[in-house]
Amino acid sequence: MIRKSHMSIALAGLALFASSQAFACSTSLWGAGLTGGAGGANATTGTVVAGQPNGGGGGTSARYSGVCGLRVAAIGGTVNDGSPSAEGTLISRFYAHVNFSTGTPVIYRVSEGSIETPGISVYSIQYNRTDQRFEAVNQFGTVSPIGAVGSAVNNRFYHVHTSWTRATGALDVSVQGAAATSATTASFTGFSSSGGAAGPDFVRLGWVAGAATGTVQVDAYESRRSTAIPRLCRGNANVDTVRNSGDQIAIRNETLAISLAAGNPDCNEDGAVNSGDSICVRNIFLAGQGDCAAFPNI
Amino acid sequence: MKSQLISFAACVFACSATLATANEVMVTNVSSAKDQKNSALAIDIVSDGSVAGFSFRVDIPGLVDSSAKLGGCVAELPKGFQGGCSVVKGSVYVIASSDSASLTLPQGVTKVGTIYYSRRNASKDAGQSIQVVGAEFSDNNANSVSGTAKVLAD
Repeated sequence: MIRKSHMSIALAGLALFASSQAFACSTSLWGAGLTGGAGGANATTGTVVAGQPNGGGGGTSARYSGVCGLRVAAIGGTVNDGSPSAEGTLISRFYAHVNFSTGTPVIYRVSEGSIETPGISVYSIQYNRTDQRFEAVNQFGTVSPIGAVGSAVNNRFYHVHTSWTRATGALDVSVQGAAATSATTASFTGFSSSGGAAGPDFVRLGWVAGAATGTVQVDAYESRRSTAIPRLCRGNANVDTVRNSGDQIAIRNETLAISLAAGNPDCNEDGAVNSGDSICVRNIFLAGQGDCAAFPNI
Repeated sequence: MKSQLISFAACVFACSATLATANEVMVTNVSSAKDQKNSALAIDIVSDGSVAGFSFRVDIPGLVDSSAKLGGCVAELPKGFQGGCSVVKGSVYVIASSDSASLTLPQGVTKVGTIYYSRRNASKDAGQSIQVVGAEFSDNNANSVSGTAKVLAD
């Protein structure tokens, strides 16, 4: 769940985890750069649940990678990170499992200023349940759809990658999930900061705002100043470099409630780990596309 | 007959040695070298008793993809194992895993199945040999366990 980068400016984990699956999931790495620091008063807002799919680790949540994820079932529940500081560029990504019956919840918001004030939104990413697609929103509230209607069906995991540049006010977004083998991309302008040297100072991830009914589960947040952040290898359940029979075993063990897979077992990206994921891994292997490095978008 | 007996004896010796040491994919060419149109490969797995899943690719020079008959590719897997095969650009992919956390391939040789196929008669394929690539063995904890692969002539 925690992604580290030597170029990271905002390093925030939803939870700590180690080889021991009894390790508690927590939000203690969030809050860095905010009043109270990591794990402090501003690490989270509202109600969030860090946990594992099997209810271990202190809660119940689907996850994309590792054994812990974060579930939010009410508006205002977020994890927060203040590592950015008037950034001129910000590249970030997260995984979100959106499961809503109505509404348009804001999943991710990048803001200037202080989280207590509560700052100025530079850009937001929201999920439009009616249209079943993600949308970008600039500081003026202008909504820009990302892809066609139906491009992000509900109740699936999505990799959402954003790249923002102050100088041009450009925001590039890539969304890929639901076992798709290509991304939905969009490039926008008009996503300026408030001007001058102003730029992102903090981010919120979860259910930031927006009336809706449902749940969002997020995982694997990472941000940088430069260099795109690659997707995690879908179906690589046993944390090696290829998708093959070993991943099927790891998925089987999680399905049988023997042990949680340490890697990315939700191959079909439906938010649950079961026989469908084993079939998914099998199909990737049989297509000759098991190598994660050679087929990063599969 | 004499040569066959010698081969059998050599196999017994070699296979015994293999059984004692390692996991292995054994692909045996069971077709005539002259018969390019009706070729067959038998697939066996040698297990040390820890193998719960395996996968590998068989590169077949000159393989006519559309000719491959994979219905029996994993047909002889033991009960409790599932698998599948496919053909992609001249290679046959094979994958299988056990359904139960307490089930592994028994120690020794396990028959997996047979692949039937045709090869082109193109001279460019002459002299190129069938190869097993990317053999992976996994135990019941999804850990990779050591193993090798080899292609045997019948």
